[in-house]
Amino acid sequence: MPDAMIKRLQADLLNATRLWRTFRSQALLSALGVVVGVAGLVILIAVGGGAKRELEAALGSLGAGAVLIRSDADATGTRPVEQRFVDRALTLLGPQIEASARVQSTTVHATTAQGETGDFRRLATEGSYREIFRLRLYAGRFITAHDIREAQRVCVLTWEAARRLFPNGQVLGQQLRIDGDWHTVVGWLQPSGSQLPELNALNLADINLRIYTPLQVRTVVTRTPLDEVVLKFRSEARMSSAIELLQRMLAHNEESAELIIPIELLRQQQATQSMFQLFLLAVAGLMLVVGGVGIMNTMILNVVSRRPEIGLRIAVGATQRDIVQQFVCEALVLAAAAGAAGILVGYVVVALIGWGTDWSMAFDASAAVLGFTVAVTVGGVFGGYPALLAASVSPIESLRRAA
Amino acid sequence: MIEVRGLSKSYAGPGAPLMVLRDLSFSLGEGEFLSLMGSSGAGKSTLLNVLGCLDTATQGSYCLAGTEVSGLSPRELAQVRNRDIGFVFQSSHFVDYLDLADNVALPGTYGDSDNGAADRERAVGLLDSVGLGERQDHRPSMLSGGERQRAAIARALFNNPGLLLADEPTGNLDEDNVHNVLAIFRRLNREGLAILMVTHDPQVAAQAGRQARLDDGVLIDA
Repeated sequence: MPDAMIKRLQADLLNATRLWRTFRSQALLSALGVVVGVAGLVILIAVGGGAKRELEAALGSLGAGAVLIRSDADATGTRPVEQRFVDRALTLLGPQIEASARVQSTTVHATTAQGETGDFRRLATEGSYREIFRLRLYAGRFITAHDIREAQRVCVLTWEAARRLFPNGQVLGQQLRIDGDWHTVVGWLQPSGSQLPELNALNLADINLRIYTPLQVRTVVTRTPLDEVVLKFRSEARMSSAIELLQRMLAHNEESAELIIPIELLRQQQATQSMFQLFLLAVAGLMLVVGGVGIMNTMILNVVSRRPEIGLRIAVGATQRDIVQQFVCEALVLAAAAGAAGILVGYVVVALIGWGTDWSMAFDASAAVLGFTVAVTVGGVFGGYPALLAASVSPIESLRRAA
Repeated sequence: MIEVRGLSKSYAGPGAPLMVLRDLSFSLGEGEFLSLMGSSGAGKSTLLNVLGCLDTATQGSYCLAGTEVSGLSPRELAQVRNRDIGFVFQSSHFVDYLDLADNVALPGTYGDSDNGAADRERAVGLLDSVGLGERQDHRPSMLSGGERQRAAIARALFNNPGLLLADEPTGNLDEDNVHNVLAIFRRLNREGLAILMVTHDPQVAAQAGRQARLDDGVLIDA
């Protein structure tokens, strides 16, 4: 680009900032729509990103190939899963299963030697449970096969359960009475898992208020039913075909159990979320269009009121192209300033939402880049018509009218 | 500087075309000062617009500084306006949101210069030459009518044009300011600038070295 053209462009941009500084209230009012639209876009991306991160975390902790066979509660109460059904399923699906964990689940009252008490969800299970759900240890160890075989009275506490029962932080080796029996605390888990209310079907709401104990072997031997069995398949593809078989088996044996597929729940949640995001995106888009129309309206009024200026510029050597460039620059500067303000407002609102609620928010620089790009594009598109209008002004007419 | 031969200008109307300028022929040499009088509607402003390359003639030839302008493209006409012609209007138009120096430097924006700082420096020098150097940072709205007209002359001179076209430059001024503006015109004319000034005032017209009248599109005594 020749130096003279660069100088002209710089002059247009500089003069545009002078123009809008001179007509502040006009600029503020016409840019408001773009400010709100861009802020909405930034908020939408932050909220959507946060929800996506939450879902991904949930998926990561559950595993894509996990299936839960859970006893189905009906009007007569809970009817646990029969162990022999589980045995048969494991035999049939054996090669496709990477890991399985049996679970006996009850609500218990726990008391420490120091007198701290509380109600918790006890999950009597196997070591494989930790692998399937990717539970991370903060200290100590998880349930082992030895614990189950020897019917050891040991327990592993989740992060929050340990904090409530042992506020002084001394957790490992402490004694805990669970429903009348004393257990030794051998492990302490890191805080983990999803708090998504949409995943309540997975009983994850109390994921940080659990006590894990060894599966009660005696009940397995005597074929006492289970509350839940978790199967982890080697791949999602293998899981799909196995689910069909499991459903047929459940129907054939009239088992009062249901199949819960976490990935399906998450997909449903994602689909609902995508629809909601699309709706919000449409609202933000509408605001941006309204903002663009606001800018166009202001620019058209500008063209009308500044005809003598346009005539003067043509008289001193401006071409139609120069006039178009000048007015497009003015629209772009206004839209860019509105975009920057919208980004700022958006981030402040996101910070306030994050501070005031437990919503997960994702601060993403790409939201700022996108918001700014969209704002400048809106300015360019909606500033184009007024610029062409300005270029069509007759210098003779405009100078004569102003005389 | 100017060579006009058989120049006519007409506008299409509901009936026959409206003839505004009829077969004009005259010339204006470098350093000449021509005043043009005539009643309203005689075609003075139209002639000025054609000579200023803001409008085109229907017929005839118009040669400015050795260039035949009737066949030039809009872009080339813009270059001619920027480089060779300075305008002073009856109402001195300014860009309100720019200060005085930037207003005077406005023709530089559309010229070949690539140095904005040098443009502003030159604008300040021109403002000095019309006695407004200290008002360089002021907004045009803060100036009196006489000051605005002097600033408009400074702007017209920015690109060192060979021709100054003035349309009733003293029409809105009091006696003292008329005297000041004409004094500047005479000085510029002595320095070699060709000036064509349209006026209604015979006393103002008498300040020019040559005088002519335009009567119903026909030039008399040019």
